[in-house]
Amino acid sequence: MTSAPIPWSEISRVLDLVFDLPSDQQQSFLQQECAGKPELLAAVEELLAADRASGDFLQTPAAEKVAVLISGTEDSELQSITFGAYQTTRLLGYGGMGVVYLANRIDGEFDQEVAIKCMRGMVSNPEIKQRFLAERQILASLQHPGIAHLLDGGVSEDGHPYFAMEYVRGTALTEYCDLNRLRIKDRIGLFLTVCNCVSYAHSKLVIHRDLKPSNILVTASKTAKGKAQIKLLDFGIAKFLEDEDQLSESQSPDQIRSQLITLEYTAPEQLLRQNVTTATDVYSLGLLLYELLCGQHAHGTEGKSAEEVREIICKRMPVLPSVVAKTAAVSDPAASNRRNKPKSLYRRLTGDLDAIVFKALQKSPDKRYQSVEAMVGDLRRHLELEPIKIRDSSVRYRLERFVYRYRWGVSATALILLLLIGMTVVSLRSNISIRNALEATQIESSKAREIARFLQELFEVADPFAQKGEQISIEELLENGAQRIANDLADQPEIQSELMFVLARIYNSLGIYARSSEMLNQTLEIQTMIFGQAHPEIARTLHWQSLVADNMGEYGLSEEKAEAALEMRLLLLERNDPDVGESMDRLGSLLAYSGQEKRAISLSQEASLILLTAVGEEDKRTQTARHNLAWMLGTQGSYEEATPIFEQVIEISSRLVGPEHPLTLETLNNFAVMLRRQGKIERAEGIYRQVLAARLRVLGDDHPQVGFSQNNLAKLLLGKGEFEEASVLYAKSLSILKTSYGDEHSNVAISLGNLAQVLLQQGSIDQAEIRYREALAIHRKNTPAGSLKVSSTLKGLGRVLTIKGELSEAEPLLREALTIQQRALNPGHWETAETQLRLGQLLVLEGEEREARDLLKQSEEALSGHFDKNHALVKEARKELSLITSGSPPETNP
Amino acid sequence: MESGDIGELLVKAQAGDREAEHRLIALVYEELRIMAHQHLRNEQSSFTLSTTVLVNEAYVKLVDGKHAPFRGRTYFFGAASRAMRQVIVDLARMRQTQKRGADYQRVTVEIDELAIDVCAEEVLELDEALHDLAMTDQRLSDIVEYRFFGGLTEEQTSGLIGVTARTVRRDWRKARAWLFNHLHKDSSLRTEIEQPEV
Repeated sequence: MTSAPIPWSEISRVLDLVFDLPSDQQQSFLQQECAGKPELLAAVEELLAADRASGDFLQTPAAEKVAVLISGTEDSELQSITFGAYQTTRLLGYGGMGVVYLANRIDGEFDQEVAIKCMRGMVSNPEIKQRFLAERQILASLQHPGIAHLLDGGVSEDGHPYFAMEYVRGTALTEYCDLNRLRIKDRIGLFLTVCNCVSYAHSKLVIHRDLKPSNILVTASKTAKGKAQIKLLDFGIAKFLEDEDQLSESQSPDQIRSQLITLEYTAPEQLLRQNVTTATDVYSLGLLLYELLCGQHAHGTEGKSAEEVREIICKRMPVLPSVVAKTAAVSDPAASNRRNKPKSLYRRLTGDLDAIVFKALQKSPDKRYQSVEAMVGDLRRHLELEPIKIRDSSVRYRLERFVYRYRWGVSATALILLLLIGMTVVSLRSNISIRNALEATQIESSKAREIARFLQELFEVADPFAQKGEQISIEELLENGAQRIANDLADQPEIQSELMFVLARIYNSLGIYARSSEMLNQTLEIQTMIFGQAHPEIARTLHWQSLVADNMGEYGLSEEKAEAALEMRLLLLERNDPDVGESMDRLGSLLAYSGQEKRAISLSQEASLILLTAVGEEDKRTQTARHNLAWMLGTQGSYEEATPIFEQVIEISSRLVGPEHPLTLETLNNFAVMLRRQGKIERAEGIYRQVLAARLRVLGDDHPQVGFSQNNLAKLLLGKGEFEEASVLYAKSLSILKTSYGDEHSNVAISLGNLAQVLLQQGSIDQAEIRYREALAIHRKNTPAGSLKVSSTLKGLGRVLTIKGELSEAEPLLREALTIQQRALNPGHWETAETQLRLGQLLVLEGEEREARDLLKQSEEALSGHFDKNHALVKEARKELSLITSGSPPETNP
Repeated sequence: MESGDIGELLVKAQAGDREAEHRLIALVYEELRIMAHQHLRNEQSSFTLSTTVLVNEAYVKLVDGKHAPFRGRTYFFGAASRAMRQVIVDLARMRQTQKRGADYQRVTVEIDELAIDVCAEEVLELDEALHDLAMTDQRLSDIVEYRFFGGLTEEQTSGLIGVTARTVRRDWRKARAWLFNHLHKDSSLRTEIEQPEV
């Protein structure tokens, strides 16, 4: 026996060459060709001999055989094949795996139609037969109304294993749903029935392995309640195909032969011949759910080669069902089949259902639902939550609208999450924290059930439709919860800390930061008690403390916490752990704002790399990190580096969650900001308009994000000189921001300042003064003295007052502005220069010529260095300068 | 299982829909089976029977020849070849199981019973061997299916698989050699049966 079998391709190749030669040349050719490979020579010679000896083998037509075989029969009826106690009447199906006949019992005892599934091949292998017979017992034990019962099995006369099963006439589930135009709710209901069957089988240790629509039939006979009856076929049979595959001496041992199994419904681990578990069935169920929801197969595999299909299944995540529902080509028929319209179908699917499907379709089995029941749980909660109403109060109202449009993710504490994705209070600066607020919780399923139960009770107690017409506010509800957690769970610190953590996140999302911070502190205490000084969960709490501190504007504290979290994670985890990446990203984005740019960028770069490697480019955390990196690079001025990263993040985000999802829009917005600073005005404007339109469409015209978009676009238009549109937009933006943030937030102040600027350009001096004063008042309240934000407002007000002639009030303002700027900005900065110009103009009016000339000179130099000679400020500065160098007429521009 | 419109099944199967392919083959199988029997009932001589004719007739009967595109026809023949193989294999199996049945009655004096049994056995062995060949080289097995069972010409086969006629010819030769070799490995036994004592 030779050590290694010779590949067939080799033998085949040599044979081809030999066949072409006349027989006298064959020997010498072979000696040459197979020199040093005696086994190859032997194999080829064996076949050559067969070729010579074959005579008329297969040369006589097959029809003769038919004739011979039929001639041996007298009966006028067509013969049937016998399988055990059954006799076939018809052929039902034929495929790579085997043949299916329709059969009856021979003794005619039961009038039952039976389907006989007979495997092809496999005769030669005794090992398979053994396994088959053993497996048959297990499969026969599956007694469930939803599973086609295995009646019998055995080995036929000529050695082919077969199964005899209940014959089911029905329609494939997907077809049935479309024919009856079932709504999403009803489809999910049927899907849950399927899950129950699978779950039952899992409890009997049987994995289906080949769940697909054609194996899930809806039968004509209805149960007493009038509901359609579901039947699952072919449980566990796929196992034998895989077994046969493995034991055969196939050419490519690490590839499942696509003949035997339909590739489109195969799980990645099956393709890679790894362990098949209950999670494999979860995957298949995920595919089924996907199709039921949006009408398309998750992986578009039509017309692709086996190689390409493998690639898609193992590496590419599918587009979310909600996004498919919106895509033009599919949407109308798909929506109509669900008694819906494309847009509302999109809204129906976005959020929970997207997330459930996404989780079930994870490439790696341990990232999916670990049991069918877990998935069922999430789906049930989704169904139950639908009709819950929360009423009144502006916070709740906004909550309801926002939540309805952008629910995201369902975890075991689904109830909480409804509230969790509440209003996000965002400051212009930290575009980043929106992402954080929208992150899904990551609670282990083992604790999840307890938590869910507890929360259910909580919700019942706080009945929204309580007596006496009293409405329970969300805050009261949460307070209730906090109380109960503190009291009732004192003896279960682990669960207690978990729940506190969840509440903290809710408070955070609602903008009630103080409370959130308190809860986090309590959580930390308990965790330290349970876990000691360092533990991954403690690190997570620290991470969140950083986020909340950020939201409260306590940037110093935020940085502290982020550093602590990172340190702990570096201590406990591998450097390439995604949590480490997450912490690096967080700290990096904070440092960027406290002026430590170098360290910030290096952290951000490492974070991106870690996350890219650990969880792939499509994970939310990687997206966040890369977004932050691009932002930092852009701020620094490294536009060449930043742009491709931005573009990639946008592409992925659009593909995964849709081009109108808040995350995508946010990234687009930030990209546009960078482009504008870079000077790519046209492109920036295009994106700004796109984002604004999308936000208006989805969020309504009073959402703060719309306000920001209007503000950004207005600023750009101002730079282009389009005052009309700019001032309209500013006014709108201002009114929104005031409503959302109240009159005293610095965002409002910024917006006021912008508006004032426009008004001034238009000549409404008094109006401009009013705005500037308002803005200044707010800034004085909120920001520490000596901050740059104040300086530009000071400059603006100073200028207005100068124009009005109120010089004594104007001067100190301008001087203050100048001091701040000279301290904070680089010398020769255009902002400083502009202030110098204004102050200079004022001093001229006061008669302080010497100082004025100094200032104006410096100003003109700096401005000319920064801007084009036709820039308004440059021209103004030159004019002033020439006026003061006494008598000479204004220079004409060269 | 509902039998859909064959033309539709054909289109779907060609596009890669496995389920449609299976149903198609089952339908063709039924048709061929019936036709084969009818042929032999009506005509005394078996020499006029050819699978090519059967397949062509089945095509005309099942598919509206005017509307199906040319490629569809070729695909149909491919499916029909598969079906034909199963028809023959099933005939052989029926023969074998009948032999062991108790109620079988024959009123055949002229026919050589042994020859029929041998034929049945050969068919089943060939089917097995073909299955094994498919594990080694799928294309060779396909060619045997089309050429031998389906009675398709070299041109039709090359059109179906997408290789040149020359390749088909070469592969056919290789396949025959392989199968012959595979079937005659225990040659001593073979010889015994092939030369029955008269």
